[in-house]
Formats: sequence, C-alpha cells, structure tokens
Amino acid sequence: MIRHFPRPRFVRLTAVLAVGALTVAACSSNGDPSSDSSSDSGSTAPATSPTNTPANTPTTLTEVPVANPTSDLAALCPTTAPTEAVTLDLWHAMPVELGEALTALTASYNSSQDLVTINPVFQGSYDDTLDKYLTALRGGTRPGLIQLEETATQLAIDADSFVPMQACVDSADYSFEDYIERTVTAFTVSDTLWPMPFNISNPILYANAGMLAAAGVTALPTTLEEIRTAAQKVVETGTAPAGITLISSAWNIEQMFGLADEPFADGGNGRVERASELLIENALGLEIFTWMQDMVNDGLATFVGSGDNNEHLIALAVGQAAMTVSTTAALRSVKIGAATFGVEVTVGPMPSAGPRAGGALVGGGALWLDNSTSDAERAGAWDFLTWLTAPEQMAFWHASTGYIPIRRSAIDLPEIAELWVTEPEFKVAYDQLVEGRETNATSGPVVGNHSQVRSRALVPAIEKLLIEGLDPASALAEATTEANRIIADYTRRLGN
Amino acid sequence: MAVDTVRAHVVSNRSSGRRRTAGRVLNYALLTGAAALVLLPIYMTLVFSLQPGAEALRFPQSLLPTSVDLSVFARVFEVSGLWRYLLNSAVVAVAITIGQVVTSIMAAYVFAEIPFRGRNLVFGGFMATLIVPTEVTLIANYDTIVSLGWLDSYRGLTVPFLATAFGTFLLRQAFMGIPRDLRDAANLDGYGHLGYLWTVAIPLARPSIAALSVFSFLLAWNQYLWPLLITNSDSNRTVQIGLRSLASANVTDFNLIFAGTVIASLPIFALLILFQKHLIRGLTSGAVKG
Repeated sequence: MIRHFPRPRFVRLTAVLAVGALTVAACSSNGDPSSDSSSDSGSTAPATSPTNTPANTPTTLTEVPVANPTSDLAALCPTTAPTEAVTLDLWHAMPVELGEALTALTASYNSSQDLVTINPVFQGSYDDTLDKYLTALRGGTRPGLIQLEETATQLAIDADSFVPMQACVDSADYSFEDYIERTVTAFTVSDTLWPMPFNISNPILYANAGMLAAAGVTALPTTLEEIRTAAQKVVETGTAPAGITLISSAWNIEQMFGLADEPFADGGNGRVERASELLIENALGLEIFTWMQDMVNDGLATFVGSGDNNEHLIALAVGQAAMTVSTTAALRSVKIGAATFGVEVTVGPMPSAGPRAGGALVGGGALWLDNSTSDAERAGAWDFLTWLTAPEQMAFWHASTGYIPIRRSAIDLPEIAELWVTEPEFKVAYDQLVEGRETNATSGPVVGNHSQVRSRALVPAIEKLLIEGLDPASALAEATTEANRIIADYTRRLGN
Repeated sequence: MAVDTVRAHVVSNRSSGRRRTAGRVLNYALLTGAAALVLLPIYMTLVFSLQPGAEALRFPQSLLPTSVDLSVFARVFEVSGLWRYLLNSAVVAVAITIGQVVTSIMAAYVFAEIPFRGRNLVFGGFMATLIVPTEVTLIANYDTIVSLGWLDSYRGLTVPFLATAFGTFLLRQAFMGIPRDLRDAANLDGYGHLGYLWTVAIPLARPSIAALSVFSFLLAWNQYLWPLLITNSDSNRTVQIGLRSLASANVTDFNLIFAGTVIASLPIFALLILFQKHLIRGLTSGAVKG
C-alpha cells in the first residue's frame, strides 16, 4: 500500500496462472525415463540415484549426503578444474541491495580467475523467475544456474531439467563437513542433494524494545502463550494499539510445525516418498489457528494481510504494534528503518507453539544447475558454487544481507565475529538454525506445487480465519482439503 | 463554449444568469474534486520520490515533501541500467504504435468500405479475438518466437503486437461515421480507395487515430510479463522490468521505486500533453466543418 509497484496484483495473479498452466507443460514435455521411475517407487529420485546410506528405510533422522565418487551420477558432473573458458548466466530474484551484494560476489569471482564468467541476470520475484524458467523449457534460452525458492524443490526435481548437485558432490568427492548440516539436508530428497544451498533464512521475532519495556515485559517471548501475555500488557498499558501484527504467511505455520518436530506433509515431509497430503489437521494445527484467531478477536493482534509489501515491518517501525514475525533476510532493512525512526528493535527466536522439540526450518533459496550445460560449464559452475559458499564469501553475504552464513567456520572470520559483537541481532537466526534437530520434520516439507499449496490453500484459510471469523477447525479442514486437491492435481498431471 | 454563447443570447434575464453562475461554480467544484482524486496518487508518487525514503512512512503523511533529496534520481540509474531500458521501451513502444496504427487503418478501411463475401464473418472473427486474454496466447506466442529464433530481440518484443483487433474496430467505426456524400464526391474527383483513404478518411478520423496511438503506446510501454519472458540480456530489457528491480525492502530506499516510477512515466505524460492538442483540434475542426 505504502510502497507501491505498478500492477502488483495483476503480476502476482498472472504469475500464479502461469505457474498453474506451465507446470503441466513443463512436466508433460519431459517424459524421460527418470520421471517414470517415480511411478513405481513413489519417490522422485532418478533411476540412477545413488544409495549412499546403508539403511534405505524411512527414518526420522535425515543425514547429510555423503560423496560417493563411484556412483553413476558422478559422470554427469565432471568436476576437474575448469580448462576452457565458459560463461554461465545466473538467473536470480534478488532486488536492489541484495542484488548489489550478489553482483559484488560474482564480479569478485570473475576477476579471481580467467576461465569462468558468471553473468547474474535479475528475473523479478521468485515466482517470476520460476515461471520464466518453466517457459524457457519449451525451447527458450536456459540459464546455467538459477536461484529458486525452497518451495520450488519438488517442482524443479519433477521438471527433470537439472543436474542434481549430488552428481558434482560425488564426482568431486566433496565433503559438507563445514556446512551447517541442516542447510544441506533441506535440499536433499531421497538421499540426493539437488541444488546448492545459498541464501538461507528463517523467521525471527522482531520487537520494539522500548515498547516492551514500557509495558513491563522483561524477557522476549518465545512461545505463543508468552506472546499473548506480552501483547496483553502492551495493549492494557496503552503502549501500542496492538501487541503484534500477524500476516497470512503459510511459511510461519510450517515453521511452527518444524519447531514442534511435527511433519507438515506425509511421506516423511515428502522426503522419503512423494507427499500426497498435508498433516495439519491435528492438535498442533488447531492450537496455532485458535491462537491466531483469539489474538485478533481479543484485540491483541492486528492482521495486516500478506505482508508482501512489508506491512508488518512498517507497523513495527512506526509504532502501530510492538512485535511481529518475519524473515531474517529483512534484518538489515529493519535495522535501517528502526534507526531512521529512532526505534530500538530487538530480535529473538521464532516463537513456538509449545516446547521446542524440533527446530526452525531452512528457508530461502538455492542455486540449481541446468542440465543443458556442457561438461565444461558444469565444471565451471561447480567451481563457482564451491567458491560462493566458501566461508569468506558467506561472511560477506551474511554481513551485507542478513542471510545466514551456511559455513560453520565463517563465524570465526573477523567480518562476522565483529558484526556479532556490534550487532548481536544477526546471530539469532544462525543460533536458531544450528540448534535445531535433524529430522524430516525440521527439514521442512517438500510438496509438489508447494507455492500454490501456500497461496491457494493456506493463505485463503488464514484470511477466512482472521477476517471472516471462520472457526479454526473448519479453516484447517478447508486448507487441508484444498491443499490435498492441489497436490493430487499436480501429481496427476505428472502422469504417475 | 459554443453552447454557452448560444444560451447567453437566448436567455438574457439576470436571475437565470446568476443561477447559471451558481451551476458553473458547482460544476467546477465537482470537477476539481474529481481531478484531485485522480491526481492524488500521481502527486504523492512525485512527493515520495522527492523526499528521503523513510518519510513515506510518516503518519499522518504530509502533502508537501518534508525535505528534498534529489540524489535518489542518480541512484536509480546506478542501481539499474535505466537509460538502456528507457531506450528499449521507447523503440519497442514506437514500433508497436506505428505498426498498430498502420495495420488498423488498412484493416478497418477494408471492413468499412470494401464489401466482400463473408465480410461480417471475418469481422466477427476479428472481434472474437478480443475476448481471449493475453495469458492464454502467451505460451503459443512464446513457442512461435522460439521457433523463429527471435528470443531476446526487438523483433520478439514488437512483432507479436503489430496488429490489434481493438484498433481495427475503433477505426472501422470512425470510417463508417464519415458521410457517404464525401465518399461519392471523392469518387467523382477520380480518387480510388487509396486516394480517398489518404485525403479524406484519415484526416477525418484523426481523433480516433490519435486516441489509438496513445492507447497503443501506453499498453506497449507498460508491458511487463512478455518482455520479462522473452528477454535475458540487459541490452534488450524494457523499463518496467527495470522498475521491478528497484522495489527495495529498505525503508531508506523506498524513494527508489517512486523515483523510478516518475522517470518511467515521464514519456507517457509527454505523449498525452502532445496528443491532447491533436485530439482537441481534431474534434473541434470536425465540429465546425460538419
């Protein structure tokens, strides 16, 4: 509303339509054997998928994929040092300051060696980028590398147009020892790592420290119950019109399932078998939905819609509410905004519904390697990706954006060590990520057409819950029915 | 004006004159109110672009810029290669506008003046394409452009939009509104189809052609999805895609997108002001000559 962009609604609508229409096209035009293999196993791994782990049976614990140099996949990605000059387009969805940081990184890489040139191309939002890629599968120009949101994982695997990163990992005998395991497992499906994790985030609690103090709240709330108590104090003392702003974010709901160590979808969150339905019609789902509705009905929370234009963060900055939950990627922006308005913002971990049995999910984006690339290009891409996720680059990326450094040793570098002393807020998301347990539930759901499950099933249900006052049980039931229909529809279109 | 003068001659007593003044005041008040309503968002965009980004969040919002910070206009060009995008948009929009006007004039003339078997059927088919949304033809157009090898080129950006059913319809109506006598007179003077079209029909249909030009240019200039789909390199991208990359999450950078929007809408305003004269002149000259 305040920050406007020409025709956002139209753009979003057409994006949704296009994804819907293109999904069929992308998936049906690639009737390769590897998509057939998913019909008998029910999983999405290609027939050539390596079996690294001794026990292939569904387990709760997810493990970081181990390099297997002798696997069949390894041949797909020769990772010897690049020998010929190659140029790879990198399609991304990072606007303004995020884009500037990414471009600084690629420029630095390009000048660090002579053979590989990475050419970053901004493609609009994540949805725009995915749409454009799916359209390009019809014979258009494809990039060497593309940044996709974590919700695109299943769709991208099914598109059958990417070289699994596992191939390069196997061929290079690469070790993820220094990586935060969870960022790697999040993009691992059926023991195969698909993209290279890159810009990783999770949601955190943002609070106006001055307001909480004025309302007599001494410790940052960490559970929904504590948020309610804090919000009550804020509203009763008249410190702010609302305790917290809520948005219709399906991501936040998924996160609370991860924190409770409960899977969001069946098939081990879609990581062991293809997911066919959501598992949200339960006590936890009901607790979250009831809490949201009660907060709004009791005047403790303000519902501000999708939050796509940062309405919730703006409400925090201008003092309309004392708290909100949003991605860590917004931290730098929020800090700048808070400084501008003379507000002291403090941040804490994502609040959980009950005890924190699990962990925050890995959100954000990862880089996928297109399979139209030549061997030399794949080698070049691998060289770039390992450079990009090296501790030095991760430290720069973290400090300039707020995305989480995915390398453990990055936090010992002066750039981060100093940042965390002067601005300890940046540490919260990292701590929250490494604290989490490694299970299918905390790796997050992998669902076909995830982005539509969010936008067409969960978001409308939350809106009905908070605007029309639909009772929590019915809202959950509606969300589940619609989501399952979308997933079934998607799976049917795949033809298996 | 003309109507007012006539009425002034007919009605000359003072009380009705006063009533007329009151009516006029009311008219102007209503029109001013409506104009303010329409112009407010445009005006606020300008205000937001002039002041530091975070000021956009001040509540209540001041109607005047609290402080002026023009450096943002330089930063817009730094963050995205807007010059190149503006040039591309200009080339594409001008090409599409010329193409649409030329093809519409020719098609409309045929539908209006040259009877042939099945004309109504063909015209009906033309009109039917109006109900097909762009999204439906998007993929088919994309496939065509791919097979022609026109991705990431001016050709790909312009050729799919060179003909328009709407423009054909608009100009057909304009041509049909020209009195039959003029056609006959032109025939007597020895004009054929082209002569009549050039010397009589086009000048008389000028208001409609001007309207179509403005409309075509506006649509071409504001395209987003198609240019995003088929262009990859910065050297072929249009201004609306450039604007998208200015949508920052930093409050201090909020003025970027507003400044970008102001810059991107300047050509549109220039065009409207330029064509406004044409539109009015066309209308009045038509009225006087009858």
